[in-house]
Amino acid sequence: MAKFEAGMEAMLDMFVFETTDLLEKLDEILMRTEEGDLEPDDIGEIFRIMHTVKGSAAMMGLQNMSKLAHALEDLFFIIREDPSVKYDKAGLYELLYEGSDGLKNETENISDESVPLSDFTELTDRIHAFAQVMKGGAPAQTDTAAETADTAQSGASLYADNDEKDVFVFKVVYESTCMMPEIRAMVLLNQIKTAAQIIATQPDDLDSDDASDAISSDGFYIKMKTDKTDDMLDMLESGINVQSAQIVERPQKKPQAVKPSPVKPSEPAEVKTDDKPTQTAEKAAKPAAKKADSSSALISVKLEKLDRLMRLAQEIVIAQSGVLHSPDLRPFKNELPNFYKSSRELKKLTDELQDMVMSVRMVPINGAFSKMNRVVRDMNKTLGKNVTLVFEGENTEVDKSIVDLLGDPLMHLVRNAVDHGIELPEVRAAAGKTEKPTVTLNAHYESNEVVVTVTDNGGGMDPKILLGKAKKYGILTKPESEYTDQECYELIMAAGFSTNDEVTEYSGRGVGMDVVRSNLEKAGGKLLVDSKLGEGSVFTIRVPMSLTVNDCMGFMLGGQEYALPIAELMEILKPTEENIIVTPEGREMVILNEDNRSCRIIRLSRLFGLSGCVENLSDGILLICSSGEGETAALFVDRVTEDMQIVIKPFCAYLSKFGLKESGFSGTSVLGDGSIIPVINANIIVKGGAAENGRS
Amino acid sequence: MAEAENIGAENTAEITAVVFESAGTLYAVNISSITEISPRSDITFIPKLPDYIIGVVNLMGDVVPVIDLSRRLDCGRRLDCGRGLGSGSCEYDERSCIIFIENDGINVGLRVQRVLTAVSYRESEMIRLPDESSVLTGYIKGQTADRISLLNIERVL
Repeated sequence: MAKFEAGMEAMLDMFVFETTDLLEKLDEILMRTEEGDLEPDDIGEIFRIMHTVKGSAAMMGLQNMSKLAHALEDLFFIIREDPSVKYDKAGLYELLYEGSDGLKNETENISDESVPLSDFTELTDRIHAFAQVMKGGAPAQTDTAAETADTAQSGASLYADNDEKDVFVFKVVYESTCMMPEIRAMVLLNQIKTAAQIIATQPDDLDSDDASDAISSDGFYIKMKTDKTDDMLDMLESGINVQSAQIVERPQKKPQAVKPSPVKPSEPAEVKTDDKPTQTAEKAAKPAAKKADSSSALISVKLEKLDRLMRLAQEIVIAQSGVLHSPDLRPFKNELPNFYKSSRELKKLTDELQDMVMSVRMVPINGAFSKMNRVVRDMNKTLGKNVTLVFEGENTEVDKSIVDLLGDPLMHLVRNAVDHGIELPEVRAAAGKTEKPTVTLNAHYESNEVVVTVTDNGGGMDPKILLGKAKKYGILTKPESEYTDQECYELIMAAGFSTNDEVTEYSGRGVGMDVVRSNLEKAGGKLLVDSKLGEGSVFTIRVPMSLTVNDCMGFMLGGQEYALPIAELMEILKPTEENIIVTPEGREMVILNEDNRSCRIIRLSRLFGLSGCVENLSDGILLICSSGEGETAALFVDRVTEDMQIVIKPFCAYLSKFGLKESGFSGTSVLGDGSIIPVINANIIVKGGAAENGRS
Repeated sequence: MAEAENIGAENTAEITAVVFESAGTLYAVNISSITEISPRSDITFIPKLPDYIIGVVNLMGDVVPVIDLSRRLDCGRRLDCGRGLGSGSCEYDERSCIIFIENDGINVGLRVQRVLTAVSYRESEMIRLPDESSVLTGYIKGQTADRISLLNIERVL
């Protein structure tokens, strides 16, 4: 039995997507405004969000979510109507966060039938109570509101959408001692029939057996058309055994009215009895127009479609190079000027197509970062560490898949930084640290990798303590004395290692870091750690830009072709007797053309341990590359082939364990003819090439 | 009736394995872990790998590493006791094959000299090795007097 109403399965995806989106927006507003002021725009926005969630939930038949959203909406209705209303802001935000989390969880679990529907009654009651306090502070709306809440189910439902303004529902309560109230009610009806037009009553059939009970427990409701309400009240109150009579306020919203039209959430569903309905309509109409504007400019597309589109674009590029470089064309190489002209045009277009497709998938990494705001906020509440979260480079655009991939690792790292990294305020004070406890998230590019660092200015890690713990857990793989500090830090990423002695809500189960690392490695990424005792730790995530198309230069080495990303290539140089230097130590250097600098030569054949390569320097060619950190070196290869546009795939999990990345390979690429070409990473080779050069 | 049951039990217990030759020894791999057998030679060499990984091939768009079985077994070689694994030298020709294997989400190719046949055996017919760290799970009898070594794929990878 699904949780939502039958026949709504088709809407499920849409509902989950829309609601999740709205709740994320809500969180964002809450995070932004918690410290500052709540602007009228924000209030309106929150109101609309809750209103839409309420409507969609009701449409799905999720009464629990709908009621909770309704309660939250009411809160903001009060604030919106009377911006001067006083309330406990911290309390309000607690309720909002709790409500938002509850709704989020419920949305996530909606398709999982093993998770029962959550009961939000308690939370909803607290929100109602909070609303009462708020209303108490605003004398304009007093007891009647409370009364409305009580009778909303019974009396207010007599109101219909199309009721005219002079139609009212009266509630008559009989004394508890009154016998046979249904008879009294019948008499009363007869009395007022002369003065007003009676439309309906509740209970509607006064002759029925349970009418008596209904009237004594709920009261008697009369819906009538009248313009003299005061006279009517007097008349009703003077009835025999009548304890009280009052007008039932029109309900502000009709859930039934929302139900069939949830797709138009900004449509004002309220029917108000106040004398300012036009004002309300205007207010609601404005944001509606705003919304329509933005929705026409943005559409949401399923990620699978984008993936498919991207694969297609890649296939087109591969197929195109298959056609353009077809061996069949070779005999006619110089006889097809029009063919080559058109093919250049085609290449230009496919390049553009590919850039477009890639850019569609690129999103600012902010999406992954901003979720951390919430994590830190909640942890500050419970741990009392008052940590500030700082973003750097949050507008760095990365592939959507990377934002998704980074979500969990970032969550772990930020939690760890706040929980383990940052010291308690007392400890910080004792250590004489004056700067604010800060966790910094930074994102930037480095050659063809996205680098995300999580830095804390906390206590740092003590290699000795880590080593001691690792020993205790029995996860050391070599003698203690052989561990360098760096290796000690890396111990925290070993399975079954936890530095916090106590298991807390946030961390301490010892499953975090190794899972984070293995998940990143699966995606071709890396997790690095560095720390300085007393000053803090840095965790660095490096992930490939994933599936991006790279301009590469092909070169031959020992009869096989390799590729080097052009971004890493500075210059191609033909070595001659004149520009080669061999130092007395036997180091080979080359003088660079433009200025009188020289750089060392790295023979890739020796670095890779290949045979059958060009040995004589003047017979081969030099690729001048930089390490990305200022160093340059010349990579000696047999010859260059051609530039190519390829998709670099990271090595599969089985191969990556052999340290290919450290050896200077970033992956492989499948070419148009189906052959595979290894792609080297010049940065790493230049950095690590010194050792090889020393040997030669 | 009893006979029918017997046959049924026999059938369910039966395991089919593909038999192949590498460096003069017969090996077998459970057929359920084999995805494809192909006579390919277009292997792209990747430097800096252990020498038993002879390179990668393109298997329907996936870059799959290829392990040379004789070298792989050689590198874990201990003292040879007469009738052991073959001499270690292994010539490949046009009849050599790559057996593509999937195990626990990892795809690899095993280069072998010859793929010979398929055999069916029952668990009870197998001589199990007590040593779980070996690349072999045990031996079975071939149709001739030959012993066929059953590869423990997890260990080979």
